Amino acid sequence: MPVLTEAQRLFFETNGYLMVEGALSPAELAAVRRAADTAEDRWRRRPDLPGNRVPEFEQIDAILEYDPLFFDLVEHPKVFPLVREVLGPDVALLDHAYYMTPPGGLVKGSAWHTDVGHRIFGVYHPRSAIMARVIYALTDVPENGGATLVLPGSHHYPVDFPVPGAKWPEEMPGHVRLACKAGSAYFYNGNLWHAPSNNRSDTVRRVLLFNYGHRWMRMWKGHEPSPWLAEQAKTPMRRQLLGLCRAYYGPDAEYPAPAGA
Amino acid sequence: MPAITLEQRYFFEANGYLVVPDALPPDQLARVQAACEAAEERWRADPDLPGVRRHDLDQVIGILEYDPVFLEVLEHPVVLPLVRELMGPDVMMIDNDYFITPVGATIHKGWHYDEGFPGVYHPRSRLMIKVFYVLQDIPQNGGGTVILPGSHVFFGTRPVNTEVPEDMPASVRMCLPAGSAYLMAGRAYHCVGNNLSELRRKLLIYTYGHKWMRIWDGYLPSERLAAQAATPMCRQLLGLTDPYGPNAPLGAAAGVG
Repeated sequence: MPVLTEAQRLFFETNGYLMVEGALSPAELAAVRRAADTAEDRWRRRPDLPGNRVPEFEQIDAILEYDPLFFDLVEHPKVFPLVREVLGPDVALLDHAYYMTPPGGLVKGSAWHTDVGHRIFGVYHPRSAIMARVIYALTDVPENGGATLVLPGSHHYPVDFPVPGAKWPEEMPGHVRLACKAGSAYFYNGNLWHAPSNNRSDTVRRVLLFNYGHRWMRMWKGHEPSPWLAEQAKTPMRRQLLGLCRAYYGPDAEYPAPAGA
Repeated sequence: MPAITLEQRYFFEANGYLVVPDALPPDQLARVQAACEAAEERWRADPDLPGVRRHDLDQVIGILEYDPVFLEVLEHPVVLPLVRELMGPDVMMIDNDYFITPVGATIHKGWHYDEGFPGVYHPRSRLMIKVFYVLQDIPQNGGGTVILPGSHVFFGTRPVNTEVPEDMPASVRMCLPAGSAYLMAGRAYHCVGNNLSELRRKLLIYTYGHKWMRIWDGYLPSERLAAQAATPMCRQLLGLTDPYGPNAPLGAAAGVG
């Protein structure tokens, strides 16, 4: 049975993104924030842990390796079924991260991009759904708080469509700013044009990102699951999500996982 | 200079397949045939080695693991550049096999696509190209691959599936002399033919995809094979590079610049 409402399905197909307000309950949000804070503390103490460590943008790569709670988010019942319906029953995880964007950085207009357009050859992206990126907001993200900007409908653009240049991300004509409350989630087709915006608020923007693809696709480099993480994949769906299943043969994992799996 | 002529490109784009006559010169063909015979002997002697052992098909899975000459063919100086032009610079090996179709093998309603993934708009995508090297002459009734030209861009209803492969309307048969190669889009509708000749059909088959795709189950290169990858392109072909990072140049190993 479809899980996207007709309104959601049409909105996503038309615009290439979907907002799920209140995806996390207050209790869930508080627990995830605690786990994210602990991960951040560990990451700061260990410069060898992977990520991006420039002051205006910090990124903890492979966030699933830090706390089992993040794996629960990958299968969150209010969001994951929607993503699975968009991508198909062979859905898998490609990469995952925790982004922290403090105020004061400088993002230029060249930051506009798609996740797949110049990276995934061979797929006709204007009519495909090869990736979908889910973003959970762990803090309120106001209009001027570094919200993701998207160009609605641009996932249908062919690869050579002339998207105009802009000096600053916020100058792109026709864009929409995905400002949202903490606990909200949104996801977009990997072929959607998007950009981070400048954080001119007085708070750090904190978001978790989970990039989904298909089980026959390879994981992003550095996101191959550790033995610790693989051990947590107790269900067929979790094994599929981590790429610990056959790539092409055999059935896709059932969802929800059968009892006792 | 492009590695593909306009005639080759237009033919492939229109038909979904392309024949490369004399891809293997006689001396290389002889070496490949000898290596295949040795591989087959070893494979038959050891049932633990992976493969398909049916009355209508013997399939030696992972033929690259048997002899370095098969890696040489994977990087064929004429064929690989053609595949790369048609697939993109991120080309990678997905699987590799030695197929033997016994005399008398027949198939019923075997027409299929190799590609059919959720989320992908296949009529305008190209995820795989399969390359077949003919190791022994395939006569008209010798089980040559039957292809429905142009079907790689069909959309909507799947074409009919005929009881006898060769009965498919408008189809063509890959009945070719030894040493030939033919390329086929993974979305081309095709079927193995009925082998009603007195010759076993022997093919070396390489499927190429993109490096962001997983290698087919059971074909991950062994450490021994991986150690043979002497060039960046060979490492890319064996899935040993960053799946979403820079692409390898063709390089000297492929005979191009």
